Amino acid sequence: MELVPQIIVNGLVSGVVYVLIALGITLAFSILRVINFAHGEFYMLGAYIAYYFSVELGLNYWAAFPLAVLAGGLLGAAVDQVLLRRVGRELLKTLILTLGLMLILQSAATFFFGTQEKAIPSPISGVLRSTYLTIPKEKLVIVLICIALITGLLVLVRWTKMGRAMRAVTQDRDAALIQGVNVEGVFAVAFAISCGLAAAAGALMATVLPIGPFMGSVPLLKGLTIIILGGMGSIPGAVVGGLILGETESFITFYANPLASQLVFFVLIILILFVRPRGLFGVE
Amino acid sequence: MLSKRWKVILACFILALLLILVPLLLNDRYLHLLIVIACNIILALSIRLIFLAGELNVGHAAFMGIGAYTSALMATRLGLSFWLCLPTAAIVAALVATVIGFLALRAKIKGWYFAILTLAFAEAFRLIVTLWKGLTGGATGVLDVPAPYIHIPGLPVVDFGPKLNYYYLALALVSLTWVVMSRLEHSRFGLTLTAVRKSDVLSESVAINTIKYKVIAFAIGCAFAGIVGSFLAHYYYYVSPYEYTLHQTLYMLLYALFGGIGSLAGPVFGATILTLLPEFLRIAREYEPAVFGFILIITIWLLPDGLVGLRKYMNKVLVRV
Amino acid sequence: MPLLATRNLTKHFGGLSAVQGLDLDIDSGQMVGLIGPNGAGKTTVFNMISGFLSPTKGQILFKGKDITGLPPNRIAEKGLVRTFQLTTLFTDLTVLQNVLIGCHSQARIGLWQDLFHTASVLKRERKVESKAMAALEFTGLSEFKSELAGNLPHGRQRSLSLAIALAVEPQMLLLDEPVTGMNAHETELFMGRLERLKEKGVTILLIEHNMLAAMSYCDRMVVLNYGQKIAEGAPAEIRQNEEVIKAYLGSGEVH
Repeated sequence: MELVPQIIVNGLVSGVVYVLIALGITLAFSILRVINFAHGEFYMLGAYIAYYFSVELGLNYWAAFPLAVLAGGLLGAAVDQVLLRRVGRELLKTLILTLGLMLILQSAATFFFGTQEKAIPSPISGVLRSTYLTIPKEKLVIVLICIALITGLLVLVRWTKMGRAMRAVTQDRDAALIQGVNVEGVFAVAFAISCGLAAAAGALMATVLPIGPFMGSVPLLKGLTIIILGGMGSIPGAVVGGLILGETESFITFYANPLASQLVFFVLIILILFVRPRGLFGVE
Repeated sequence: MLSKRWKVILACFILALLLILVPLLLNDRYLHLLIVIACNIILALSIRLIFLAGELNVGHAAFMGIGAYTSALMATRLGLSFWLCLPTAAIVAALVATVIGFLALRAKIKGWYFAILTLAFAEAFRLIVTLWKGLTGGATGVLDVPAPYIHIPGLPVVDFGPKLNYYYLALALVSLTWVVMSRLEHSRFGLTLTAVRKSDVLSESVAINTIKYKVIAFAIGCAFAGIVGSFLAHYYYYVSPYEYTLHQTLYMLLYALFGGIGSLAGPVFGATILTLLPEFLRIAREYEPAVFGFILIITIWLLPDGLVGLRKYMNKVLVRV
Repeated sequence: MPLLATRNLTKHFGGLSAVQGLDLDIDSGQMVGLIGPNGAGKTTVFNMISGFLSPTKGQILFKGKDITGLPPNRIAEKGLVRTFQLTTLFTDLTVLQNVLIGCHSQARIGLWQDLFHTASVLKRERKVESKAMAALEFTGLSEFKSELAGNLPHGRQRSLSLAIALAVEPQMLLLDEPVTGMNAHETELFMGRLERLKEKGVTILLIEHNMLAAMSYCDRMVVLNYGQKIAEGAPAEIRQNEEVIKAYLGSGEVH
């Protein structure tokens, strides 16, 4: 019983990272109406770039982190403008393109870094302790950064010009076009943010988990689960869904085993599809 | 000069001769390749059938797994003959597909939601198999799956040590698949299925039970996946949960889409070329995914309709010339 | 006994009440017009009767039997067939194929027989094809049988929708704004066909925006406004009805 607060906190830590991943997927879906099958690979890319700059080049981790996010964003924008635009951002064709991209990125990572797992040493050492809780300071910082990024996104969407443009495009592309919104620009920015968020999540988790070329597959599946739970294209859905998933996973992993917790997710998806396919906050 | 009909028959006859005789000259490595191609063709054609009904089965590999495990367990635990295990595997896969398909479609789960359901089911299947060690051997899988053998009294025993025998079996299975898919498509069932895919609302309004058609297509498609699963279980002599993953299904979709799902020939070409390409490019195993990735991207970039679309494209070009 | 009857048919969407307590009686052999301003709930009523939408409350009876909540294909099987407001066709199939698909339920070919292409299958196919051609001839489309449905001009597409519905050999047709977008000549031809159908015993319930067409051809009219029935009777009565005039004027439409 005394362990429950710890389990909850652990769930919170993984939960916020899941939210970042899910937000990326939901953003791309709501604005571009595409699903990026290589989303997990942008997560992996973020991890490797952070690793490369901080471990191989010796930069401070806090300098490497924004570089990783930036790299993810730029690559995302390029993918959107070069690949997605070419196929009219059709859902099926995008799935295939991003599938190809996933395979290429995985191979590229294997080529440049090998299959041996890498790690980034903790940029912050030390642990906060109380009677019930033990939180490594680093995980606390991860949580804070995630919250900052999530808040930043919400601010962007609600209060900036770009955010208004994004909402316009989400509602009605043609109307937005007529009103003079640079729709292509919005697509590029939105996809860049989506991939940047994935890269950020990866770069953050790189300090805590081992880095490998295939580390993106599981986050992708988790992200998709969250979106289904929370509702495709819904930002509050991604947030709530991510936290629920983080907590559920934490509890089940503790009381059973990791495979069982994965099984629970999928059974959960199946149930959601039967009971409330649009998810908690979904609209369609 | 021969009429068109006779030309087609002659071509088929020559093709059949080649397929039957040439392998006698090939060594094991090439026979293995042909066997793998045959399996991939069946998988591509069967996933295409489900696509023709308007649904995407992202869990196709799991049905291959259901067939594989059914067959392997029946052979190792119950000592049953392969020739009993194979059809049973197909039936079990079809039954599971029927149950899932019916429950889902009746609850109005279709399109993308149905695809997600099949994904969730496939992953759940893989995890259950891994966790249920008692039944399935868990992560290790089922080992020492026996090879088939044919024993007709009075005739010498045909055992399936030599790859050549496996090849002929695979050839028979592919031929069966082709015939079934072809009959289904060019029949009233095929026309109705097309209608259901193009507009289930309009179909319902003219008294077509769209659920029935989708479930039938789903069940038949999954049955063939089960057949491949069973065959491979007795070819590699083992099954394990790592063999039937999402990755596999993605490859199957690739084979079908690359060749073009508009026709039956598309998946055949797609499966053949995409299986052969990595071999002939002598790419190291690790970079095969990258090659696939590039092929995917370039294909969609240039040929939105797949390889069969190449013919349309060529026609356009030739007309201009 | 009326061929089609609804009792207290009601549909709520969240807080919005689209149809309220509708009682309808359609006798066999009649052509009845369901009219009302935009948003009055007419298509919602059709969707409920044909099984595409389940009612919040109420009952639908066809030939005396309760069909409420049945799936659309079962209702069509029973002889109650609808068409759609927005032209719904198999656009990349030919005109003939479109109707052939509708003949499906009449063909009664089992899956096994279909696969083996037996002689009896061929015979049934020929019979079905001649039925399909008859439907095309009736709607004036037989010369277009090999055209892609999507290539037809709008008026002929609407006629094709009717041909597809006829393929099911219905006892009752629910037609949702069938002549919308047709010119006067096409409208006259189309309505003439409906009259001939009526003579053959097909009952017709028509949603129509074109008041003139509705009034000239229908035996009876039912008027909806904001989801409720506000008037019912012969066209002549409806024309004079104050409530009806107010409803249409109020919504800015004048005929």
